[in-house]
Amino acid sequence: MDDKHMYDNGGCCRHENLSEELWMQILSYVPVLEILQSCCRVSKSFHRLVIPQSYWLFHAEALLQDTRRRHGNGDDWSWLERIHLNDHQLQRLCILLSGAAPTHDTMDDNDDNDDDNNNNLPAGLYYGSRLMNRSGAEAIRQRNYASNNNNIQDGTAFEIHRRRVCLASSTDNPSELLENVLSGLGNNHGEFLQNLALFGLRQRGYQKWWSSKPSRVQDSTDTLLFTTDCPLAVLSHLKWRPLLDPFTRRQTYTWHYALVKAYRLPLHKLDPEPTAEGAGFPCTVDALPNGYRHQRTRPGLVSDENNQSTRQEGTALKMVLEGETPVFESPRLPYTLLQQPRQNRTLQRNIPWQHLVFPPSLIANVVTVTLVGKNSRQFSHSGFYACVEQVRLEGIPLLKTPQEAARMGDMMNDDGQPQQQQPARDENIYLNDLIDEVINERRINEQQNA
Amino acid sequence: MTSEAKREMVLLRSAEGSEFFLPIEAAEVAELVRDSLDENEDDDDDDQRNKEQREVDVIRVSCDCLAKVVDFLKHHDEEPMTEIPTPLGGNSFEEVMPQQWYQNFVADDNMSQEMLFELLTAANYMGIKPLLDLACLKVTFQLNGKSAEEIRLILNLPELTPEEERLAREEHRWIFEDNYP
Repeated sequence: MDDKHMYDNGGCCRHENLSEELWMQILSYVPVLEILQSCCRVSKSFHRLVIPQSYWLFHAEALLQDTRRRHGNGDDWSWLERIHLNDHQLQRLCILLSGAAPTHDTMDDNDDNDDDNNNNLPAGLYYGSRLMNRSGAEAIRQRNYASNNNNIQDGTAFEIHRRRVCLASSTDNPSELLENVLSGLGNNHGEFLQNLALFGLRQRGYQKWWSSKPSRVQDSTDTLLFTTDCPLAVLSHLKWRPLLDPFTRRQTYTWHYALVKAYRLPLHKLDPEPTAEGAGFPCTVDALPNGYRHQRTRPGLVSDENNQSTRQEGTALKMVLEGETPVFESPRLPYTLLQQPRQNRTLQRNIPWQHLVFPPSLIANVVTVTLVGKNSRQFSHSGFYACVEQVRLEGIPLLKTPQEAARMGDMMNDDGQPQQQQPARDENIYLNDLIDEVINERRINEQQNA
Repeated sequence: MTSEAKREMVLLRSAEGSEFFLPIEAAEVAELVRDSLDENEDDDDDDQRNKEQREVDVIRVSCDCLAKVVDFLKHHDEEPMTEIPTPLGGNSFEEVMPQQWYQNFVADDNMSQEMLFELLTAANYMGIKPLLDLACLKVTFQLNGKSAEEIRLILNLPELTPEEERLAREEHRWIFEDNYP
């Protein structure tokens, strides 16, 4: 340490005889958040101690090993060197592993209290949803991405790609896409949609759930894939809820059990321009060229399992995960409604969530939920369905650079407000667009009738 | 129980020449002592003489400090110190170190700040891991919960210049600014 030139006050600096190694050992006991808030501002020598990535790598590895020892699971720390987390990411990881940030266990289950629970945390540890909101997801789904087709020899031809933040192995019809289960629309919207049905208006992408294609047998499986809103995130917990039939309110489209996996995919799979600044905000996966194609079937008929649209989306999902090893696999997670009194099962809000708490230190950017088995038919002669009403994935983002943190704020909300307030504003915009479209459709119908 | 008089003893000599005797089993917790005794035993020519003269010169440790080190080693031989967990698992020094004797050993009433740092250096030099951990833990809890300004007072450090402060804050802006996205 070379602060001796500053000892003008005549006093002896109490730390001048301690080596850097000793200070490293002392600071290894100091809570990570305190190191960052206080110690790094004490003196130049202290600041130099806590700057090098080697210090944070050492700290993170020790905490990961300890986490693994205490919890009996968790990730192998050797990936730290392979994926090259930067200093801020390592610091966040250390904060999370040392227990300074909330996990699901410490958070109130009432999601409305998220603001209160975040008040004492630095903004960079903002705990919240790691999924794109619905309106943003819809905008991404509609966007055309041009990419160079390497198969064309002159190199000038382009192929239009579509990308999405979520994929399902099967979807019953275009109004029941997986984007519907993302947050961003309130309960009032659900009622509004049902009123649309009463008016007999065509509902394009307006449902508030995802539905699998019908299956002849109960033992069929469907997989749902979700990407995070940042290149890497420390995942805390995952919740998903089956759909109560909104029309009959009699059956809930549940499954036998679920399997959850988490992946840490390379950025080139999650962004069309992986080297661009802001890549991975959010992560998207390649849907198929020419987008999703739906082939409607008459209500009540069991759809052909070999329907091309099913194969396409299912193929896209398989292609994303091809060759990838999950960093986390859950045990079987059975789902049952039996614990809920029968009279309570007629309201969607009483349908219990299925819930998974991830082990600490899980860093990923893709999560899949495999729903195994289907319990309910829509009609006596229809196939079996699995339907999900909502999915929530929560955690803390690990950002590449502070500049990207600022860009993430710009992308999420132009007002610079925290992400959590975004869904309310998007909901109003989405509803207004919806109302405009309904009015225009009525005018068209009236003109045609005239 | 074997009395101290019947156990083989080793002599530790401080920087000023003060001498301290303690049982070999207690002293060998220190890597310096262990390595020094191993070197002497390997010397076949003076085998008999070395067995009678187990002496280790601790030239970098002062008399007062070495006295405390010897106290620690003797007690540690009788009541081994529990290993300090990581993460600490407690919010105070007493929670993390429940053993009363060790609490008192580094208590503010019994040890000045200068002596604590001297003990830290001595423990590092002599390779006494439990003493090093204990002293580090004590310093840690002196710094815990303190602002940068308070830490500077404890360590008698001068303040950062405004420019240095600004650079340090900028480096970790995501920590300091509540509305940082």
